[in-house]
Amino acid sequence: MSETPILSVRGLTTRFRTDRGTVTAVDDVSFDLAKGETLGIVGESGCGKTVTSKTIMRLLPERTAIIDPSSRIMFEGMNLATADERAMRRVRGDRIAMIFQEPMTSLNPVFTVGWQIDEALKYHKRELDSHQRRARSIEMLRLVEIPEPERRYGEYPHQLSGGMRQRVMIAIALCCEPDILIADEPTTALDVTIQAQILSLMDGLKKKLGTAIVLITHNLGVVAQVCDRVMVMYAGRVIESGTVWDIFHRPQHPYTRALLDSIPKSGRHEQAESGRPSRRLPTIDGIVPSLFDLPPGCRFQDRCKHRQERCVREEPALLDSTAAAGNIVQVRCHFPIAAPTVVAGREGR
Amino acid sequence: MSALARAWSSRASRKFRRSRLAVGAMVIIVVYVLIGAWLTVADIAATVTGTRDFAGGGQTLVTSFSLDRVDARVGPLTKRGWLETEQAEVRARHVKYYLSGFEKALRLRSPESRADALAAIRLGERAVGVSEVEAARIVAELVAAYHDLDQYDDLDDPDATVAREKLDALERKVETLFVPLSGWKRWVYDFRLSLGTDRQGRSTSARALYSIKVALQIGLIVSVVSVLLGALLGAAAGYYGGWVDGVVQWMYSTLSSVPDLVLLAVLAYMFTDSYFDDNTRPFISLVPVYVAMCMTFWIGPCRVIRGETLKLKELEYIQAAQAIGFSRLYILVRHILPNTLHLMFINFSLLFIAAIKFEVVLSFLGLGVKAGPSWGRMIGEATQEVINGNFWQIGTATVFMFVLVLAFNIVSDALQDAFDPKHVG
Repeated sequence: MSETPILSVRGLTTRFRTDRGTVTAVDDVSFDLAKGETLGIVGESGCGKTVTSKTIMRLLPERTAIIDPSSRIMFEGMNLATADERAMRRVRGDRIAMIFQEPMTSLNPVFTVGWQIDEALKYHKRELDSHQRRARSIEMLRLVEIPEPERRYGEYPHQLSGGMRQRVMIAIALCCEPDILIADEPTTALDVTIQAQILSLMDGLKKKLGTAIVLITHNLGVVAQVCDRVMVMYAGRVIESGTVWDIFHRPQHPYTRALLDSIPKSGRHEQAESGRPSRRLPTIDGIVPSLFDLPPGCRFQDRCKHRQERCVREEPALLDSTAAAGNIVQVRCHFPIAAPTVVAGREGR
Repeated sequence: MSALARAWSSRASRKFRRSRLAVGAMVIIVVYVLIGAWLTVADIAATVTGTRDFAGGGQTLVTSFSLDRVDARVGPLTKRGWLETEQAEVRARHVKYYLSGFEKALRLRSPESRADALAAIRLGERAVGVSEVEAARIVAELVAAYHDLDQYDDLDDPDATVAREKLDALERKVETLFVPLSGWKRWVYDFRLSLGTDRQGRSTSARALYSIKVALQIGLIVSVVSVLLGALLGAAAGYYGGWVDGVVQWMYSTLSSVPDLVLLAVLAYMFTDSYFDDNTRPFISLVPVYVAMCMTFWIGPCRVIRGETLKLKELEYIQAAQAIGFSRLYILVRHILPNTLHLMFINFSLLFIAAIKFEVVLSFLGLGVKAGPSWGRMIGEATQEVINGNFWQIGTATVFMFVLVLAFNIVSDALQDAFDPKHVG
């Protein structure tokens, strides 16, 4: 990538103070986000994806969350990890926007939809008068493909369905034309058809407005549909990262491979050990280790079928590795898997 | 459709109207509120036009119940209301009451002072309607007739019909001393005597009526201020947490450990002998009552709103608002507080009634309303009369208050049910 990335995260570490001691939720995470790119962050619940995004936005509770001072979140020449609250308030909503998972409670029930879009505009774009604001809000509603935007402008959230509310959330997030949109599991609470619509909407908007998107999800299908690059997280660490094509066609980390194997397909599934196709869906045994009780070596060791003695002893570092066609991916594994997988139905992007 | 038409035909309104009890109660409240508004206007009009009391003249229907007129003497002391027939002995005493006023006036030395004294005899709308000479003559006749009655030991004896006929004649004669009332003034004066008078001869009905205004005033101001104060402190405590929460919690925990009544009494007592302890200025003298009640009542809404804020804080639209970059104070005022309005309304109606009821207690203890009538004062003053079997004053005040409180409770419940989308008829 010859262009400078719009967001550059280096060594991001976030800890939480709890009754049982300090726990590290995000451990030394680094990544770049190029302009107009969609980066997917995937992982199980509790792996640190949401905390990462909230740390970038500095939306974590002040008293209990500690961002390591060596963390660097470089955005437009500013280190967001150490910026003061007033500077952050100018960034939030205006330069970096965030949308959340639950559309049913994402909008304030006592104000109209239009009022809530206007509110964001009023705060960040003071130069607009009320007519311009209203026009822009209706424009945004049209942009997110809400039919009859003028009528919807005056309606209350309870008069809209979940999918429409999520569109309104996107409208509010994008109304100030931010450089980055962080979407925290935006389609998890929606049914599959609406999910597809919302994702294609986001993709279209990204191309139209040039917004970079950080898409947090646990659904690999979503990643495959809209993301350019993907980052897999496990127990607070990045364990694999690269382009969607590389990761989906040749996942090198056992965890990533197991995740992809566990996607239900029609027909037979490939079994990792025996190689024999079977009807049974492969799963990953065990559970994520408690962050209070992390093993000394690789964090995935308890659940890894390829565990060796070195894995128990020494935690692997995130290293560059060659993927197909000479591309570089990062893998955190002592024994990355070389064999490619067949990713059903997808011929890459 | 206009907004009013839409509100009338809305689901909540239809549900409310289905209950005849609720509608009836609402009508009663509207009547009370209209009376309160009328009396407020009356006081202002009377002050502005300088026609505050009976002596000033210029009484119109609107200003008939201004403060000074309501607290003025309208007739004999401790008279019973219409429905109860007075004993003959008591009626004779009432005649004596009328006579004594005239006698005193006529005994003065200088003609000017006699004229002034006669002019000053004003019992409500009734003023002296005859010249001094005429008055002297009639009074002389009356005094003679009155002493004539002395021969009878017991006017209430069923056999003493002649005596009672004489008493009737006496009463009719007394009437001739006054200007005959006609038209609306007659109705107003009859109304004043309809529920009797208290130990100072003031009209029970007029005072009870005026107390509506006092009660509504106290209820409204106290509940609005308490709810706003409590909501602001509670929301701040819940949203900011930390030391703000600590301070607010300490405040209300400490205050609520003291029994309400004791706290109220102490706070009101603190103001005695101060600038605010002023019998002559109704607004100023109510300030101790307001302060005492607000200091105790803010705790309820504070707790409730704090709890609701703790819940709202975790909802996504609050996090989304933070993600848009709004400041915390803006989010608190603009996003959290509007979502607690339903709780504020509930607390408002609860505190409204509590304020009216506590005012009765405070006034009973002598710490409440000091200038002008109020139901609490009426009840407090009436204890002596009750011992003597006269229930008019205490009964009137209690009924007026009871009806308001009951109607308010019914309407609040019905409104709550009407607005709750989950509650089925």
